[in-house]
Amino acid sequence: MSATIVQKPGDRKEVPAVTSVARRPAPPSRGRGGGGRRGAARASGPGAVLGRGGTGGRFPPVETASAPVREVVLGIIGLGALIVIGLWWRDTPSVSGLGGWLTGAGEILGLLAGYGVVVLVALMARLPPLERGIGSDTLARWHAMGGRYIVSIIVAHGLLIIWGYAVTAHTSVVSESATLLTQYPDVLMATVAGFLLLGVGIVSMRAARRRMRYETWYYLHLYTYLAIALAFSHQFADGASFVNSLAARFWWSAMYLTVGLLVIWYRVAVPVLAFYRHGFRVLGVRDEGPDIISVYIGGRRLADLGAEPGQFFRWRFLTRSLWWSSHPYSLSAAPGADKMRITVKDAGDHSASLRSLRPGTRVFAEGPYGAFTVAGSGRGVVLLAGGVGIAPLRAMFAALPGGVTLIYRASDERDIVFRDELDAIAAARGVTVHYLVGTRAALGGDPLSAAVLRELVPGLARQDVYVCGPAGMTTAAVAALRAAGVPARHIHYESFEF
Amino acid sequence: MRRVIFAIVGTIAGLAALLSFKSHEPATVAATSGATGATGATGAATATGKPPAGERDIDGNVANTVYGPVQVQVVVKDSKIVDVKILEQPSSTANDLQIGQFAFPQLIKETLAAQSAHVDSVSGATYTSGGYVQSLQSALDNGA
Repeated sequence: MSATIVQKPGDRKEVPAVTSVARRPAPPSRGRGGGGRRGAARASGPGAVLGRGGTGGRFPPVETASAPVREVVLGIIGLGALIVIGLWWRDTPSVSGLGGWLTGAGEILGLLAGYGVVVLVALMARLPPLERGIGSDTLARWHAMGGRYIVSIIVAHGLLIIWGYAVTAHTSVVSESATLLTQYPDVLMATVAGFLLLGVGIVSMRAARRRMRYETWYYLHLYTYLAIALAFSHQFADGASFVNSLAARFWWSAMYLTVGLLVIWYRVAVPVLAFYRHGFRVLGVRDEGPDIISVYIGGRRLADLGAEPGQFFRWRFLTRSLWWSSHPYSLSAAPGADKMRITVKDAGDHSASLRSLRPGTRVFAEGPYGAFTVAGSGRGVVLLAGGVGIAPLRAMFAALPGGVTLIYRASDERDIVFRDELDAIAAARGVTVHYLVGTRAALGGDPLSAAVLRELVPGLARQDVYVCGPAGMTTAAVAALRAAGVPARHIHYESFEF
Repeated sequence: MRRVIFAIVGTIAGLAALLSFKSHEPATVAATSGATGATGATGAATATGKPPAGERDIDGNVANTVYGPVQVQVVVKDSKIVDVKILEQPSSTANDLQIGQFAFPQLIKETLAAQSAHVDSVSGATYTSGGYVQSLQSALDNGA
């Protein structure tokens, strides 16, 4: 404890206001399909991913809303899978012999894969209830986990069907493969689709993703839409569960169509409409520290967006070099009526080039997204920021009603941004900021320990704690909080890494 | 890693459970045959025109199987079965057709050897075999 620097600022008088835009890098990418922007390790980069998942368990960010939403959604997904299995059950008279078993397993996996890809797309369709209730980072994690599973299932489906048919037809696996490709309707297309999905799965694996640009990975991912389209027809042409059932074909098509329309609506139409309605433009760029900048974005009727402190947008700056990729950055201040702020740390090409943004540049903003918001439980609130994780917490800090304590951990004094702003807010509201600065070595241990936290925040165990920072810090902080007696359901966190 | 193992084991266990519930030998050929008259005897036994001298074509009844109808035509000459033609077979999926492609030649060969409908069903094509035997038997009955 002695090693920590605890400071109670109370000396500033000006109050830059609750709506002042906060700065700090936004943490980022929470989600995008599975990964963050390029490597997970870039904890501090704007490019890092805010994954709530780190290691520490999963705590819903908004305890009151999220737990039920999560369970309901998982329940619906599971129910759907059961219905799909029921489809196979209904249309399978019996399974006999090795060929029957193999073919049956292949059919079940094929059906589940056909259903699973739709679920995976739906998770990424930016559906407001999911984004708000579960959180983009959790959705992305589910998507990544589910994606690995579904790709495996697809491969197994293909192999089992070949093998099963070969056994049944008393022929070799090779000749059966040829027969399937050439004589079964649409199987060739489906095979191409399978390889596309396998390829996307491979480039999404951590090792591969780290070696490629985020944008490359992102655009390769779009091949999944092509793959899903290519694989669709073989399901009806060859699937025993569909050929004889108009009802099954109808509902299956309805499922694909619905999710397709949702994707078009929420990923394309809504952002385009918002672009014209709000007219987002860069107002200016400001240096916040050695490699940290804030970008101010103006627009009309921004209050209508309903963005809350802690949420983020996916930003696409329409300049020659940036227009083709969008990046998630948290708001680092509560949005005003005509102004928003994001804060970004220079960590990748993208964030570096933000520095050269000119005022007036048009911006395509998708959002707000994210479930990392304060639920309003009536308990006191502790905000625990690690390095760049201050961005969304800075926005919350200014906007939260009631008692709030901010703990800001950084290994170097220079990494502390917004110090003046934070102190001013603290002074104006009569709340507390603690800065814990220094490397662990210098401090003689991790300052984020249960003992230190308990001492800094009286009554810690009865408060809601919001943690945002690099994954390692988040994991350690969550463990320390648990040790300090904070119930898991009161710990809400987002981590920069996926 | 534990999750991966769980996913794999869980999937395999789930598949095995599902498949084992469905895993029973389909009704035997004899039983199918017996049940036929009631369920599938929609086809009429008709002698079709212009067979070569001394040959008779006899259509069997349509036997409905879970994969679709099967109907055969027996070519009889001097009270001997000289050929069996497949008039109708399950064809809703390419796999049904493929199964027919290997199953029927085998069944026909056995029929010619046995000179009766007492043939073993082809493994992997149990239902189709059942339908074949049923339709064949009805043709023989009709022609008798």
